[in-house]
Amino acid sequence: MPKDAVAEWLLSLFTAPDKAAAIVGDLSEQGRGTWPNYLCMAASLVVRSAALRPVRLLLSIPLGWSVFFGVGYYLDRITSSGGLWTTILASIVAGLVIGLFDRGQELPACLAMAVTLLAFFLYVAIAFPLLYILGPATFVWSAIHPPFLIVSTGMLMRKLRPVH
Amino acid sequence: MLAILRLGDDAYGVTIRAEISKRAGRQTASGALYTTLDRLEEKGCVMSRMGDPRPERGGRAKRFYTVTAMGLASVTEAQRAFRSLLQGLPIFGESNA
Repeated sequence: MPKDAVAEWLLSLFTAPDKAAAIVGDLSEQGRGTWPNYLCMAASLVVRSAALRPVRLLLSIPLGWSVFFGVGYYLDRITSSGGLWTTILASIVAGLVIGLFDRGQELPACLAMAVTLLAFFLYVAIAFPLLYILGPATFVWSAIHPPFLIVSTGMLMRKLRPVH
Repeated sequence: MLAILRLGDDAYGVTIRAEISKRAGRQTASGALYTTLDRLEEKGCVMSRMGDPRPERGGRAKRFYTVTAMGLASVTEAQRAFRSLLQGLPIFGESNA
């Protein structure tokens, strides 16, 4: 079933693939193989993973911010253009650095960084009239793509280095 | 761990959850169950093995759990501590002396 296969893939980002398969099998057997249950399970595994090394996870947030804004600033300076490619590269490099710093829990660390970045963009949207200057579509794109790329990089790193 | 001990060779996610529900009279959240099992496995209190893939589970295998010697010692110690704490308390209509 495609839904179960997707859920298994999702859970395998946070636990060993055979454990993810067993969990999905258990939920299916109980007739509880629904998206709310799968998402609750994924959230539990994220929290569990984050609780394993909380200090390292917390440290990865300022590290990610420094890399994101540092790389962004540097690229802006050398290309003197800025824009889309700057944030794309800065996001990917930030995701890579966080993943390397917090090996074994790349995805929770990248998720934490992405959530703080999203919160920052929301704060900016509320505090400054950027929404009106950029327009809603451009602002939403600007706010969404760096966190999305950071999480995607974390996912890729997790898939390249699965949990055992 | 007591549920796993009770179930013997048939202890996997579904049966453990059902056993806890039957004996304790409350539902356990699936997330809490699997993260607890993971933690117990990391501590060496339980160990797991994969069963054979089953068609009724979409071709997915069960993960069976067994309590290790260390886990058994932990259960015994917890039980001893529980009894010790109960001792002398005038509850349940008796003194537990």
